[in-house]
Amino acid sequence: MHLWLQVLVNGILQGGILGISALAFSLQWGVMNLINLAHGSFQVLAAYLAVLILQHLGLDPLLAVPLIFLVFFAWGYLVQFFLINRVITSNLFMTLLLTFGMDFVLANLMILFFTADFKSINTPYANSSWQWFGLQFPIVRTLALLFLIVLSVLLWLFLEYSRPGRAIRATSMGMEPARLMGLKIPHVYALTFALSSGLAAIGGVFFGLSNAFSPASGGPLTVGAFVVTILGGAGTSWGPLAGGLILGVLDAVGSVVFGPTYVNVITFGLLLIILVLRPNGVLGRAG
Amino acid sequence: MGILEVKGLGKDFGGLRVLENISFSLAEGTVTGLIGPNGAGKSTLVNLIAGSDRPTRGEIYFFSRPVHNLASWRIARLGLARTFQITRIFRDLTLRENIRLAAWTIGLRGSRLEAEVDRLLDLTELSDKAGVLCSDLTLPDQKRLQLARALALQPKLLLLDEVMAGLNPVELDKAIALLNRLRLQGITMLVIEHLMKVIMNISDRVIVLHQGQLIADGQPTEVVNMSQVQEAYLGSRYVKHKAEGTGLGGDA
Amino acid sequence: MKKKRDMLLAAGILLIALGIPPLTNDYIVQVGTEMAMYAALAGGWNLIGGLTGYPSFGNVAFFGLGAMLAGALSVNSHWPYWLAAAAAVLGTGIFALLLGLPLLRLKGHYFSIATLALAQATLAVVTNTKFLGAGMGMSLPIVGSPAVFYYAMLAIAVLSALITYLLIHSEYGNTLLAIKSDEVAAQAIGINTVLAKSSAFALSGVLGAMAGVVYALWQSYIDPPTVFEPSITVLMLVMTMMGGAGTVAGPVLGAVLIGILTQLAMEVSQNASSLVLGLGIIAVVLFLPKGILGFRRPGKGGKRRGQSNFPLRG
Repeated sequence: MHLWLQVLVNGILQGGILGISALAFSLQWGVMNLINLAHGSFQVLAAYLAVLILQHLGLDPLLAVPLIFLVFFAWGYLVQFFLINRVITSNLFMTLLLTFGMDFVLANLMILFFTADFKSINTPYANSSWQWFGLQFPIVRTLALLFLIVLSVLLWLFLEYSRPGRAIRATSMGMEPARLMGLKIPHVYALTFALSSGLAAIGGVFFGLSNAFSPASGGPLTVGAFVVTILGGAGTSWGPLAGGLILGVLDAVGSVVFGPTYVNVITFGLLLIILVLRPNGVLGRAG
Repeated sequence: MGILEVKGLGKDFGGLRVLENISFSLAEGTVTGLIGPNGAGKSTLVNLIAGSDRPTRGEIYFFSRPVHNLASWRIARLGLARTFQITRIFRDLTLRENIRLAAWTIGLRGSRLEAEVDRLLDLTELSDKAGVLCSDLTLPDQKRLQLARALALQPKLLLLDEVMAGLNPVELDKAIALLNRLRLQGITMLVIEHLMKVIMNISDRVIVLHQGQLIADGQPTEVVNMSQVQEAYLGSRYVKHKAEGTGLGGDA
Repeated sequence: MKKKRDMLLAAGILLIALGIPPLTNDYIVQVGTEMAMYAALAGGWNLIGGLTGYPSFGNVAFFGLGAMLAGALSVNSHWPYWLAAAAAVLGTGIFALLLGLPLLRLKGHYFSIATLALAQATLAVVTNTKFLGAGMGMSLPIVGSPAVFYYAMLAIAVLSALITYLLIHSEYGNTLLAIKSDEVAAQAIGINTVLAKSSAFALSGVLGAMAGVVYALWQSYIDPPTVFEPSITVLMLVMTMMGGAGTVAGPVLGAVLIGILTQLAMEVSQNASSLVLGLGIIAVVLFLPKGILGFRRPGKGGKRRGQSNFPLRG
């Protein structure tokens, strides 16, 4: 009984990191119909940036989150404005291919600069846990879940009540209506990508704090974000939270029941089944 | 018994009722005009009959065979062909290949296949453009191609969704003559058309859809004089803007 | 006359390809084997991605499954290799056909990602299957010579191109192009689109598996992460896109060009070659979206192939 409670807690907390990652992925997908295959590499890059900041400025990664967010916000804006915007209207496949190329470039640049070895971020709290009700709550993952909840609320408020947020929502309903409303779509797109890059980076910092990572860690992160988005439905504010919790718990329970090597079978099997049966996500609008 | 029987057909999109309780039957060899204001559900009805979309309620029989659950390619092979209001052509194929592919799917091969394609190209006056890649065709040519491609299936029933839109008066007269020739060959037709001139000219019978319901069914002259039909048209903003274009305002 | 010119060109290229082992050294034969393998794989990808318009991101699953099945049947069940290879190719073809039925209902992104997941799921299942080595590598007997494997891969590459050629000049190929242009209209003229798409996917799988079974024996050691490496799919797709999707020569041209580029970059480092590949992908998307052969304009009354992009859908 106690073991299962701990497994459940682990799963739920894992959902936090998955969810932040999906928050970014889902935003791009929902607004621009863009699937960013370089998403995971963005996150790994953010983890490396956290390492650099810690090493050279001595700033704790959690305190450096605002700085990292801003760096990736700016970087995301430029990438969308000068690169992705050039093909986003042409067709779906081209944007998929472009982000795949970006992923390749980023991953290999990271190998060049940081080597292919696994790294981890050494903080005093990285491997410690809080003890509540006789259960272990790893500090980083617990904070990640709290962050996910706060970020979901903030994102929802931003999209619902701020001017740029409303512009993003209007654009997600289609380019034509947005154009009619006088919105500058390239900038709205760039803003969307900037925002989701920033969110992805936050997720990357948490990932780096709780896992050892290498330049090759990007692929699984992208796929994880994809599965969570599919589970929760693309472009919804609460989907990533729900999807993250579902996948986190399923993976945790599955790896105990079937063994850790089956986690990928569960994740991808689930993804395939959901795609075929409900392409708009378990919680998304029925298709 | 008609060759097509539609019984209690209904279609919802989300919570929206697009078609409600549509029933009618088409007698073999007749031409039926299907009219109604924009958004009345005409194209949806054609999509349901052709199997491009599934009805929410009701049944469709083609030669007494239930087809409402059949894939559209099976329905096409039974001899029910259609055109699309917004043209759908195979851009990566030449005009000739477009038509040949359709004739090929019903089993024509070799010289008979080529002869049939030649005949259809000739019939729709597209012979001189046979080798052109379809992405380069003009809209009226695309419409003709759709008709030729539908005819290549040697249909018993032809569903024509606004094949005349955008034609100039000369082309229009030719097209009407062509449909009359097809009708003489015994092909049953259901024709959606906004141009009343066409409807009055070729139909034996007219059915009227309004807000997803069948509101009138009868002889062309009878139907256009029915008060509910005039209301449906005149009551909608559509007619105010396009009265001259459709010709209904003038006829009614 | 244009057709005759193309035939002469093809014959010339084939003649040069046949002459490589006796006239050059083992290094070039090695590189040539790899190019031929990718030409075969890209040709297979072209059938589903280029002709049918369903960009698969998971074709490496067929390559990997073919290699692992053939390896397991020969090592664990002691089948003669030719029989193991035939069974692996057949099995992979059936696998592709059956998986194609549900997956090809998906459009756009959903199909691409589902195939990506398919490749990962296949890898995960293979890794957990005892008969297939349970994630451990497999050693196959060392046989043949570099030239033998070169000719074997070349034969598959030629077969791949030949199948594409025959398809493009048949109504079946037109069926696939029609599906790529407009699937609803294709159904409306009586085309069984499910069967057409699935069979193209299966054919694509068969070509992938053929390359896989030869690869297994060529390398004489295979393990799941290597034969299911996602970048193999990327290479297939980039080569096809670069050379010209939907054309016969496009995948071959792309495989040779990328092969040469990779070798040149390899002189610097392994890492550099991957970097070049990534930059190459971005360059193709930005500057060559229709591929090298896609730019050829038709003569009067002539026709273009694979000229259009994938339609915006899904």
